[in-house]
Amino acid sequence: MVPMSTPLETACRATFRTLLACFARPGTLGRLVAPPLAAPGPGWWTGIAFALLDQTQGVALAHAGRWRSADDPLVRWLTLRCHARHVSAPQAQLALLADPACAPLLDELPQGSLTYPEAGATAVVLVGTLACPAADATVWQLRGPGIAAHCDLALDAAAGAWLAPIQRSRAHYPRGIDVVLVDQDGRCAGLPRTTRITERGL
Amino acid sequence: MHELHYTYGLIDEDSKREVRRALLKAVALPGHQVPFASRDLPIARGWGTGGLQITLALLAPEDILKVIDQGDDESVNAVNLRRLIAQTTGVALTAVTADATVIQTRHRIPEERLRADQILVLQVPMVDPLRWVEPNLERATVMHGEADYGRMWVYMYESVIRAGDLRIATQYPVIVADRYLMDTTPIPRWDVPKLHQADALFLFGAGREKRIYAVPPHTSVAPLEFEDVPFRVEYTPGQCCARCGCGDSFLTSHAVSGADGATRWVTTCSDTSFCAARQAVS
Amino acid sequence: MGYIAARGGTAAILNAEVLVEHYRLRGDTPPLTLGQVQHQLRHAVGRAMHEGALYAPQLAALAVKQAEGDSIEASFLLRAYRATLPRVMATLPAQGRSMQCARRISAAFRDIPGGQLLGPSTDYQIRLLRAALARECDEDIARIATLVEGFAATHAGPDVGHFPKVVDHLRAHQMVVPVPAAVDDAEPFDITRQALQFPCPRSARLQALAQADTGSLLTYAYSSVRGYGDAHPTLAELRYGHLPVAVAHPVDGSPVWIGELEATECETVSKAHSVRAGDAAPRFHLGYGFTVGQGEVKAISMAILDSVLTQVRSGGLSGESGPAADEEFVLLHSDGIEASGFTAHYKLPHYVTFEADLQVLERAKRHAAANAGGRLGRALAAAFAADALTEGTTADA
Repeated sequence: MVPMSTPLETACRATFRTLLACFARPGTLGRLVAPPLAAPGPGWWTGIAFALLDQTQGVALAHAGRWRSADDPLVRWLTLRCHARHVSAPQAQLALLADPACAPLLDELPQGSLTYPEAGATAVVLVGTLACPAADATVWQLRGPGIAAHCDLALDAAAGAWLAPIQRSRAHYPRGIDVVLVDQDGRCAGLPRTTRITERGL
Repeated sequence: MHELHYTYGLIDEDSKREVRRALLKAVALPGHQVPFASRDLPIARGWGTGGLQITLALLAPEDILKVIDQGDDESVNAVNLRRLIAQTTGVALTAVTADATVIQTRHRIPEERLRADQILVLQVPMVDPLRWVEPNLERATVMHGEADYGRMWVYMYESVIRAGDLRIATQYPVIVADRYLMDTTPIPRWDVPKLHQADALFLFGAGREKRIYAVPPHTSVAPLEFEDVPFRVEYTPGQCCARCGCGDSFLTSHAVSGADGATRWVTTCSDTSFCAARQAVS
Repeated sequence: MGYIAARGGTAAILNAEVLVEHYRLRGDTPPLTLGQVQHQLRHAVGRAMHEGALYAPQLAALAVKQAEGDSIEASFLLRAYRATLPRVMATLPAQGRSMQCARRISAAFRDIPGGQLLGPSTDYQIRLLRAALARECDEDIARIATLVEGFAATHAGPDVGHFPKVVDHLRAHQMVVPVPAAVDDAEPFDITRQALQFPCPRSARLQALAQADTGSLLTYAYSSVRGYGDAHPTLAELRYGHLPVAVAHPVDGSPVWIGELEATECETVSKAHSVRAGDAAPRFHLGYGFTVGQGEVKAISMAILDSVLTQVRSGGLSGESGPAADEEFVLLHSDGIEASGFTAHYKLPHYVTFEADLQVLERAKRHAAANAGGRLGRALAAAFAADALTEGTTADA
């Protein structure tokens, strides 16, 4: 008899496949599935936490421009269910950053070393929308591996605050931080550290 | 003793998570070898356990899987891996390259150009081209970190001097995305250009060596070569498959018994499903 | 489902499985029970467990039976089963001094606190084949049981089997290096969760050695004591018995006893001159070995290698250190399951790579022929001619 996946395992696998596709093709929008657990925070990105975290991983969460503390209810909820350790930003393998006020905090995450660049963090960044109508959008033009020539990403204007810290995070390739943008509707886009971003004027 | 039960995809969920994390980092660092713990599987080390762990971490029930060894779906090792994967995931199987969403392979890349919605998983025995010049892992890791590939170029140069050409048959070393030196696994040189600016995603798993690496689509993959001694694929003008007549595929030799009982050697496509499809059309 | 050229791959594999079963059973003898394997082939079971890195005596007995006694195959079966199990929690550190010893010896002193206990050992047996075993019957089992009951009667008491550690005595007299203070609280490296990277912490080294192939460790350790190295171990203590294992209670953290392991523990000390010059006080280096089951040769080999590798790092070895002093070399080549798997993989089809090799060979031959005028060319031509004689099929292919 063929074994079956649990609903949580199914959600983790689907989330991973979406992330893999988005990292392989930066700028392509993916659709996240919500995990089958009611989360006290935004459900879309806690699904990513379930897909990537276990007892070997350290996680940090930021909200309103500050890192959440260990006794924060969302931190406790997440670390208990994912078995991950809550750690300070420079130790985090995964960081969840909730709003543009957190953009400067990206600088505090680890970028790995020349010999072990994979120790650079994965940052999940929540934005308003990744499918913004042209008139209101901040448009990022992306180039790099996974992109045939270049492609555009249309974000809400407030998300523009992330550009400079993301660019800084990949100034010393192969060291760097890999970013996943997630919007309110469950869309996501991968910006691995190889992706070069420029803001396109209207 | 009670029956032993296994989970979907055989390896436990935390191990799958670790493989998945390594895969994401590998895609974000094209050509860089990402270490992972590498679980022991009911397949021997060196028989495709790296590729198998990637495939098991990837597969969803809606996937369609193809497994080949030497380009052949019916090769004993391909049959065996497919059997294990089918028993633990129940995914649909195919031999038709175009129908597959995930293809696990040893030593070949299919002849047909792979599409954007396909993932090729390659089994990797020897993980690092630098091992030819620096067997010590600690020192080789530093060389990769510093993109210090001078000794590899000297190795290539000596190869040209001694053999008149680049004396590398398979595992041809390439530079990925202008940064990392990468082992192409023992695919023949014929398959190396397929990695360059491809539509599909390539994932490489070395179970015994405990490393995962990747080449994303639309990524530069440049074989090491000299201006006056360029990289060349295996190709003999006029070559032709004895079965399908293809003049533009990788051929291997094998013995066939004729009607008179005599044995003779013929060359045919190593990609058997490609060859069979061409025979069916003609 | 598309076409699959039917050329017998699947059928051959399935038939091979049947033949393996047939070869295992064709002697027309009663099937082995797991109890017989577990108790009468206990060293095979122990080896499957320590090389398979899973303490599960019944499953190990099954593995030994299924593997028809092949030790690497049996450990491979266990190791593969282990990979399907989640890691629920880690035990609290188990102390060798809490072992209920069935055997405990020291070569460093004639008498040690608690005394020497030879226990179940073939060390001083005259290794003559005992034909009587071929005719063993229930009466023999009963006779041995009666004799052992007699031993127990003369050694009664709650402390039987509990001994102080020789290394504690050595430490108390400043004869061996102290326990490094920093290590005590550090979470050990787990090679089942992280790939080994070099230089590696000692906990990773010990874990890798503990699941290594016995024969490989023996070879490296032997090379190191025979002459390709500077190891001069003295066996401080070897103990074998049952080691209690506890975990922390998930709520209140108190230790909860969950069972015991049959295990062997060994400590060696090195010769004094190997202590680095300039240290505050000369001390012996310590080597540590541990296996489940009664794996004495492996435990001693492991302790010797641990000591050698520690001394290399501290600059404590004098003279040529030998191949066994290269940590990466020893750890990456001593896992029996990895080494045997890769060595056996040459049985897999390689005709694609071989075809590519042939083309390179042809090209090199043409190059040699083109340069045949020069002295180098003549030498190469001679070399290739010799090759061609030994590779008769090349011309056909």
